[in-house]
Amino acid sequence: MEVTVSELVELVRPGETVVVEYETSYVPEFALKFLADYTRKNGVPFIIDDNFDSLYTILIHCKMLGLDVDLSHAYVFKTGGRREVGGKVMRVEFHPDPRVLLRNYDRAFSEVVGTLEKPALNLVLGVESLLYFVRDVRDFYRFLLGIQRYVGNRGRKSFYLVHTGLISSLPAYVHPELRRLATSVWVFDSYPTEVKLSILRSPDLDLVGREFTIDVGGVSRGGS
Amino acid sequence: MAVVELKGVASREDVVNLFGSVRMGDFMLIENYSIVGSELTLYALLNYAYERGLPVLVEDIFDAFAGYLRHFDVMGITPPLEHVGVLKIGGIDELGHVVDKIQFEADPTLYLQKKERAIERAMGDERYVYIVTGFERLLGFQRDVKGIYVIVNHMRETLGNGRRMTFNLIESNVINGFSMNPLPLLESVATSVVELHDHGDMLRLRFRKSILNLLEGRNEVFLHPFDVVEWW
Repeated sequence: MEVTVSELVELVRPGETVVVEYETSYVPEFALKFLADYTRKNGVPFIIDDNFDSLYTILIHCKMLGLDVDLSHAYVFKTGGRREVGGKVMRVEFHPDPRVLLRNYDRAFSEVVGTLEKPALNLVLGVESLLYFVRDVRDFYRFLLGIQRYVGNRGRKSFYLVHTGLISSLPAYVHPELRRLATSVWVFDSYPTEVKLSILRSPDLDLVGREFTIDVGGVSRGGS
Repeated sequence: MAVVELKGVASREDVVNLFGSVRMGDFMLIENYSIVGSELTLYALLNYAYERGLPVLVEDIFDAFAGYLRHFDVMGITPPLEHVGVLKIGGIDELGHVVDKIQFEADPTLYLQKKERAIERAMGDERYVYIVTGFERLLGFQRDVKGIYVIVNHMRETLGNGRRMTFNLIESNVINGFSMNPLPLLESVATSVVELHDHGDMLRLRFRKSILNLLEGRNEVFLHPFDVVEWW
């Protein structure tokens, strides 16, 4: 069944944490483009977590693809990296201890975003880079339990973009724990002119196991 | 001629009978490989205990139970929790009725002693359902095989405890990611073992130990996830 990105976003309930898995492809570029357009058009607050210059990289790709991405309305929470791009950029000081890092993030978040009238759409980029800094099982769980506390927070819908190849080069318990934390798991497969989405998990049990296609109208130059 | 075995879709009664086959002193190991199986199992189990008037104590290791509760919240389903006490082992997210909290101990012997004392304080002489969540995380924190043996030996000792029926809900995909796989050890101690797998849009329950004859000799049944949330 063919769907639009706004229809997909509407399937996600406020408070959800969606893990979006993709292989090497332009999925992040199109996700950014579509979500930026969607939030701008619908007046939805758009928050991008930009870890280690992942947003910069994606924006350059968008430019080369000829995708026009307007992020002037977006809040960008930047951890690590040097390239400040997007709307209103806030620095979150990186710290190797996940407890400190998450505290820094929370502080920046409440200072800048405060309370929102509509649930924000939160796009998390480069989470794998954060996980590379996790030193052991204990640190990993500190990080995981920290982000688990956002699950059910009706003030946002979070999308964690996760590259399957990168995540599987981390310790083997990382991927299943992320999937378990998520309220929805979406797996994307890309083809030359369309992207196929399989919903592995959803709080809406009717959606579990459903497949959708998204037309990207030949703008993409091949899936990979 | 090959006989085609009819694979059944489980009813509410089947699930109730399955839990009913667990007696005080038993230890059922539930290995989850599926995506919604843990939430559904917990939902059914909490309802089952509630109907039977049995109090429940949940051992919540590193916020695993808190995570399931957060999922229930987003899913919009509400299992009864009036009869449920939560014993926190480590973690930062105190959800549900927390009766006690134990700091995580690197030494499993210390953890086990503290835990048993906390259970004693919380439950006294009552007969209760004991649900363990996040056990895979506890095992993942063990530095060597010895720690795992200490924990498994303790489970052996609590077998036959006439006041407690234990359900240990384990995320097997996580456990398989750790360097040592303790599942066979746990299975050898358990009085029954059930695996949960995804099967299209259904959930497949595979019985591996002791309760096989309850479901007319079938060793697997299927469930519609949607049915389970409708049953209660």
